[in-house]
Amino acid sequence: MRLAVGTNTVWLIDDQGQIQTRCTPEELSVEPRVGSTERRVNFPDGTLFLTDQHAALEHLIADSSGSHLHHAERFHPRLIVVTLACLVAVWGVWKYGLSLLVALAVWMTPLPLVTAIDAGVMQALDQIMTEPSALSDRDKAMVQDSFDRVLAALGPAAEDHDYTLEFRDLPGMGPNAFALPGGTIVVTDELVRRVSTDALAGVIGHEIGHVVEQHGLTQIYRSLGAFVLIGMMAGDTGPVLEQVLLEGNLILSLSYSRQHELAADQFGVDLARKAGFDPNGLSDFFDLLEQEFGDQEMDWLSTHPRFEDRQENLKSMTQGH
Amino acid sequence: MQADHRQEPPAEFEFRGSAAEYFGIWIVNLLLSLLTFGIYSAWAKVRTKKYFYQNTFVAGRSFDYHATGLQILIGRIIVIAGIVAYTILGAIPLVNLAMLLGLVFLIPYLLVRSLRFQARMSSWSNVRFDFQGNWGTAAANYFLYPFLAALTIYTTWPFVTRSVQRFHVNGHTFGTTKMSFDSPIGPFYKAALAAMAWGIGTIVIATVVVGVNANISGMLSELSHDPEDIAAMIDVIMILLLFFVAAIPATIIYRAMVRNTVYNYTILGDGHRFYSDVSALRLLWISVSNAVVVAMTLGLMLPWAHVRRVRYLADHTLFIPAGPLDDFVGDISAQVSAIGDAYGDIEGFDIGIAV
Repeated sequence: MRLAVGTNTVWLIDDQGQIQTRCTPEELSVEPRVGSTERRVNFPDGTLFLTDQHAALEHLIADSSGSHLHHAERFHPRLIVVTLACLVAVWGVWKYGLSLLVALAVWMTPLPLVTAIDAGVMQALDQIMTEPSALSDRDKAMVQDSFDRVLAALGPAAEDHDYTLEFRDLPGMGPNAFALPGGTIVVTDELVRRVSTDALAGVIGHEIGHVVEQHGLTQIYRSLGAFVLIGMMAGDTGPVLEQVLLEGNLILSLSYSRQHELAADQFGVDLARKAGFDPNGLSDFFDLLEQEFGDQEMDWLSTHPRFEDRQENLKSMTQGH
Repeated sequence: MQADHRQEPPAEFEFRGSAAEYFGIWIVNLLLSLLTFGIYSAWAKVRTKKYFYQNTFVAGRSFDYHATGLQILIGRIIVIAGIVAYTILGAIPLVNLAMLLGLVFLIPYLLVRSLRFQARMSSWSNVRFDFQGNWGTAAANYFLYPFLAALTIYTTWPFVTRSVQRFHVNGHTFGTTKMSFDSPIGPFYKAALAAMAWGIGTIVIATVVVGVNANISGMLSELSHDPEDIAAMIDVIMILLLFFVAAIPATIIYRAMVRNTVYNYTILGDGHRFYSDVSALRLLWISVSNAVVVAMTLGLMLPWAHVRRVRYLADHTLFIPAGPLDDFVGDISAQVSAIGDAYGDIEGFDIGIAV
């Protein structure tokens, strides 16, 4: 087989000199080189011509498309530079790029959707887990007052979310509180009964911190983003590493969760102080929890940091002031 | 595998690529993907697939991959948008229930489209593959049968595996030539027993010889009484490690033995056959040592690991033509013009995301 190229026509000629097929040079599709495989020349009628005469072909069709890429890929000391650039880029994407993408995704998430998440989760919780609050109206009014004061300390940022306080009895959950991404903050009856007003203000500040810094959405997007990025970049990693990466991603996302708790602690104490409460309230609350439930020995499989670390974190903050 | 009565010499699968060459392609792909926040990875995937397909030869002719980067990119954007929407909406109870029902229909549909795309974008000797399975069968194989197997505490799982393999192989055609697979259930049970032997064997060895404390509930209660109990904590970690040592190799062994069975009982057209004699333990060794080497080199040996695995699989695969090999190649080549460009349009998209 021979490929012959004229000004207006390209011919494929077999060994007997017979023309097998022909087309115009524009109709001919020549695929870029991949490694040392034969180069593929496609005729419009489906005929495929393969050749390893790379230099001759490039000269013949006066086309070196894709040869830059092929050149860059050749096994050559230059690849050391490419490798180093990759390691730097992997680190950069992991450290900054992913956070940037996550921030962008959080920013793009429509507000009504986040509000709908809150409403849906509350509805489901009320059906399965929670009991109506048994607190007296006086207690509720007091907590609501603290909540309003802490929220007011947030300033104009309080308008960004639909902050609402909910009271529920959650048997078995102890003194506890949690925030939903849309701004719904739930406190348990036991929390209200057991802790001081200052501690409660600290806890409320902590939960508001989760909402302000969008920790819920950030965690969803981050674990998703890491999953997709690794999948697309690394491609097929083989059966063993695939499992290791999956578990690793899970453990990493737990570490982000613990970082978020520490950040919310600092945010909460700061906000409670601005609102005129004793900033040591949250720290007292951790003391209570630690006495009651004890601290965990290792934290890398946990969503929350150890109380010791949380206290340390708060101390470092007051020293900074 | 019975001896073929016409005794045609089999054609070996052969991988002609090299780790060094693929390293260059891989690292440049990776750099460009990183610099474009993953967008280039669609083109990178095509380049990688082309490298592996074009370097895999049977009877002196190679496979090829024909998808374009843009097709892959569009497929990925659709899938990622879908996953994001699903994750966010999934946080809303009731809505997620409705979506779960929707997925039961959507997943088999997407699976069939993806298999079809994958097949139509693949060729050997310039003849494309095709996939004609339907989504109802896919739904039965991926939802109904596993559910039924669960009712028998998974003792009938080999039947599910065989059915899934039937769905895959029987749905494929090469050019206009049909592929078909059927086999007795014995080899599938043999594979399951081998996998179970590994799993139970490692657990027994770990508990008796190494002394991993298998009393999980006792361990956990000890931990809750005394969270400072480091010995109990170490036991929990050992259990996690044991899961890796028992479960992952068992899966690899099962898949290797199933692969052999599927190749050995698959028939292409009138009587062309395949033969695979992959050793489960050898493949296990390759997978584990690959993982260790890749982890120790920060992933830089991934191309070497991939080539090593692909070469092993190719070296243990044969094509056994029913008649003279030249006749087969001639017959196949005659089909080129008939179907060559029929699949030019996008008739599906790729949903394959590794990991």
